[in-house]
Amino acid sequence: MSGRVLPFEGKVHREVERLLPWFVNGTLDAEEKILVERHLEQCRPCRQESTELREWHAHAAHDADDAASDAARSWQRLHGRLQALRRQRAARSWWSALVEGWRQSAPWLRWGVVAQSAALVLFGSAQLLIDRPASGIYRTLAATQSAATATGNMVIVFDPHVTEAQMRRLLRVSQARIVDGPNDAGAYVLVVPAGRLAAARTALRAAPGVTLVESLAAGDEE
Amino acid sequence: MAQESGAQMHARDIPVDEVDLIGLVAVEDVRAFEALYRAYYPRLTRFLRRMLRQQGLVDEVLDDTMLVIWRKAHTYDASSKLSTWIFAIAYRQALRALRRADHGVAAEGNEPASPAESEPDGALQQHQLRAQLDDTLALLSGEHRAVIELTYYQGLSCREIAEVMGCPVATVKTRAFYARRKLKALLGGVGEQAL
Repeated sequence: MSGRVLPFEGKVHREVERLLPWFVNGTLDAEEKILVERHLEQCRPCRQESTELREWHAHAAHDADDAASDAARSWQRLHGRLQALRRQRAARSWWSALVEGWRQSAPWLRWGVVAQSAALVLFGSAQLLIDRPASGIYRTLAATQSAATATGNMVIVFDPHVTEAQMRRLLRVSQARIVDGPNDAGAYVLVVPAGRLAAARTALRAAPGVTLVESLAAGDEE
Repeated sequence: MAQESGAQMHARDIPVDEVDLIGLVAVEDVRAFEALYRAYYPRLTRFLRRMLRQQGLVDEVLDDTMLVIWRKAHTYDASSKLSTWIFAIAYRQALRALRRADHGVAAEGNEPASPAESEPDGALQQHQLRAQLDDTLALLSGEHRAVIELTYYQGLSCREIAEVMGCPVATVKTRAFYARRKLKALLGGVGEQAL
């Protein structure tokens, strides 16, 4: 052997040594297989190695058949996890879809939605302020007279034993309307037409089933 | 049963309809997923046992691997064999589990398995030798165990193993070579009998 051939042979030997596992498991491509076969004809250590690896491979193939195959039980375990995952995903899918849709939408569209939402909130707030009904204002009977007169002009306390039908009849006759009450003392605030205030007060005071009648209108006191 | 037989038929080689199967899994067909699971269960279990050496961990990583396959089935583009794609997922999951469990090189509790007393002498000896081989393999690094398992037990080509392990083909050849050397040194004279 010349000094020029030995390095080449050494290189082939190292390459074949590294290819032997796949030579014995039959997965080398045609070119590599030819390289190995040619080298094995000349190299005793590689032939020995190849023989040992073939035995090992045969042993491994036999051993592989012993691998436990309790697939059914394991599948049940995995199926349980899979079902749990799908339930979780279904629970949050609507929210994820919303978020994902938001993320994937065009920036101009997102800004449009934000602006539209802001406009709706402003419009709604304005409507609430404008249309807020007067009856929504909470007034106590102990509040100032001017406040009370804004919602009623007479206060009345019925006898606890008076029936609802009797109450309705008394109010109808007096053309009075309940606008607040009862409070803890059982008093109701009434609105009576201004021209009927004195007559209604007199009639109600005289009526059975009425404990107290007082006018709340300024300048209407006896 | 018929379904299981079909799955076993597909266990070793790549059947032409495996791509169809993973396609069905991609659209969340549970029956297709079960068929794929049953087809790969023996090979994956074996591979993960070699990698992890603890049955509890094997079950956990097997489930994790299959759930990744369930979620990522739509990303399989058939540019590699399905088995290569699946083993690559299993390998990454196993390495992650090893890092978590800090089982790096040597596995704990590697007492050779005690053979049953009723085993005949020949079977007893074979059992002991195989147990010794398994224990010796466990002394190798995770990468060396993987390359030996994938080459000799799973029958993958060098290029497929490179894809599974995410490294150059030359690295796989070198790993296999040194793993073999180390294994022979550790087994000594027993190795010849074991092999």
